Amino acid sequence: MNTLVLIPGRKSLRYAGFVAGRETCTGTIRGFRWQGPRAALDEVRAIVQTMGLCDDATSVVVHGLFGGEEFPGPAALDQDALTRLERVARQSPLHVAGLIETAHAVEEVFAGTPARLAFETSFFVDLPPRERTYAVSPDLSHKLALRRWGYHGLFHAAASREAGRRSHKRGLDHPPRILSICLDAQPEIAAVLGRRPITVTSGATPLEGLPGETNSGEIDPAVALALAGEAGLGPEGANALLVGESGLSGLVGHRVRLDDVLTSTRSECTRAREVLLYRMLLAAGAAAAALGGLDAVVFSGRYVSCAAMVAHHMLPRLERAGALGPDAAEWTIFAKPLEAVLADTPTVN
Amino acid sequence: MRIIVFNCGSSSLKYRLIEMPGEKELAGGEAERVGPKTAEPARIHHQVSGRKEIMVVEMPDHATAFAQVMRLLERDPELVPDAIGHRMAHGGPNFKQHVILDDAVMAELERIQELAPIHNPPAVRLVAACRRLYPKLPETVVFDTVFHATIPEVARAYALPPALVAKHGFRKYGFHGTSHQYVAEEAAKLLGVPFDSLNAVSCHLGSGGASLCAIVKGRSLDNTMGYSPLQGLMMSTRSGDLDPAVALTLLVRAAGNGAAVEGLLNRKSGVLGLSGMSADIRDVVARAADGQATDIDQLAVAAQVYLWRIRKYLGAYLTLVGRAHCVIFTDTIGEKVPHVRWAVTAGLQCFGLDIDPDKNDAVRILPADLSKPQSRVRILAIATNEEMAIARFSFALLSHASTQAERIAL
Repeated sequence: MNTLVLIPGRKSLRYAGFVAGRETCTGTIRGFRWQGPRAALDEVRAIVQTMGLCDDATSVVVHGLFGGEEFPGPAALDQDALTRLERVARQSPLHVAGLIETAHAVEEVFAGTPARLAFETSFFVDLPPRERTYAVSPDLSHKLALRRWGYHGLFHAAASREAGRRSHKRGLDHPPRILSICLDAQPEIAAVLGRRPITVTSGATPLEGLPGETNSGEIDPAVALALAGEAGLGPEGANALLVGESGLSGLVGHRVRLDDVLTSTRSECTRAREVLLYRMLLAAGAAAAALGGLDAVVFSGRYVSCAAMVAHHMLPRLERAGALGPDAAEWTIFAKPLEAVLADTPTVN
Repeated sequence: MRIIVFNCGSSSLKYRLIEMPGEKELAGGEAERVGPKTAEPARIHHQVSGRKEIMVVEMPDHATAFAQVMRLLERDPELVPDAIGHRMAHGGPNFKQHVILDDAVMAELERIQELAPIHNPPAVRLVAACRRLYPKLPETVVFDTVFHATIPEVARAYALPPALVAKHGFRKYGFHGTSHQYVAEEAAKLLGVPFDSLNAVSCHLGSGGASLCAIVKGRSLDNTMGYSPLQGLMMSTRSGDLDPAVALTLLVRAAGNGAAVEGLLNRKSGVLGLSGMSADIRDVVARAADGQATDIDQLAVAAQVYLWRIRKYLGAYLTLVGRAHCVIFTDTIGEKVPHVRWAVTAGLQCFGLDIDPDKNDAVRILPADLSKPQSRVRILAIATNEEMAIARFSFALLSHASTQAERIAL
């Protein structure tokens, strides 16, 4: 089975072709939004046709960041899915509107090829009420469709499955209690019991939780209001600052990547690294309390190559506090890139 | 030395007269309904040696309330204070110690009062009234934020551009420090551990505000509250942690009215907002447990969210502390609600916590150790006494100042 994976972003479109599970081509189309998804997908089609990927046995997987409660799993890209996407669009207008546009273009450019959608939030649809609920009135939560989500569900699901398999082989007699750490531009930590997420660091949006490359992560809500008010930025300006100019880049003073911060010996990165590792340690401790201890630790994400550095910092501290079981000392790396995780997304009937 | 300690609320004034260093409470009480007239008259509940009296008197402001309290005390020469100790919620970035009041302190108190717009302004007005009416009485100011002055930079920093932080002072301050320090000192005595060696997590669970504090070697390492008391745990009417994007969405919906959003998140959220029935978690837990309420799911979720957040922060701070001697529960909910203590510690044997359910349910006299003998980390319930803590700090400050003055005179 050949698979074409499409990951639409804000400015670019990533694609990857898989033949019998092996990646055969990969690339990025720049100016994706500017030229429109149709033109970008025509370009992708032309490239992958030469690789023999556009035959009858090919399927297309389209990545979506947010699918809300309408998408508890992957879904065939059809009229029903498009209708459901329209319904969730108001909860995440930027992401979903772009995805709808891309989905229409996929239907046109790859007409006749079965396509499916896979969402980062699906893994977290059944997050327990105690974890997903904000402490505001239920009426307000209902009006705003307000609840907490995770935004790296595909990595967490695949990585915790892998970690669970290893735990099972070791003879664990209960569902494994897994600390899943996704090292990505916006890092995220989840506690997973067996295959079910119990906690996650992100919130209603990816802004909550750990600091990211440009996201502030968790701050006092009063600070967000003060940025908009006393600091004179207004709500949109404050949001732009928190999403685009804060986090690790804000602390360093210029644009940095997560792996730079974690591995650089430059002194300008020291403070950002310490802040990030500190917040990660707190999140790991919270996850351990949620699970009543940890049987396995697994790392995934674009910057999984930095796992050893994070593990070296975090695991001895968890062990000292008693949160880490004897078997969890052997942490696992889930090294597959997102494209490969998406290619493995089950086909929807 | 008799020290009168004032704890000033927005419409109340609590006081205790304490003989130091013997720590004997001589008198105490509370002035209620201070400020504009309400449906019921303002009054002072005054108590001396177990005798209670209620005085109905107009108190349009805290200065008047203070003057009335002093009048009550001055009826007995044995109850005339030698010094005044004030509780101040927020000390801003510059008060890293509790202080004796002087002109410079007064000026700084006035400058920073908007950092805690609900708590500090009435307390600052009270301090000013005390100076005006009793200029010869020495006064001290004890800050809730001082214990947290030791929180390291890595824990107090928000991931924001430094220039913005420098301009607006956005950082974690932490609150309830006086209570956290008091119960930690009491825990150290109870366990026979020197305070400067104590590692603990202190859970100040009040009927209003609540916070956890990570303590290493007797010093605060982190606190769940942040720049303001809004951050952290779910509280009686405060939301606690919330995605900043949600706060900004609410601001847009309120047409930019920041005060309305702050009001919503500080006074209409938390236990009250989520349960829709009460701001007191005891009511919610009881109603959720009796199974009679029709809104059972909503109440159950409110109780679960409240307990879950404490449990998660407890795990986070136990990890931070490393080898903890104890977990301390204090203030109204922490001292009096066994279900809360049990729900947040049960199943945490991995962290060394092994609570004894029988002891936990039966305890009536505090302090008490609620853990099983084999529990590596002791689980303690300790009654907080912020007024006593303020008296201790005040006595220490004034005694030191007096010793210094004697040395200079010699």
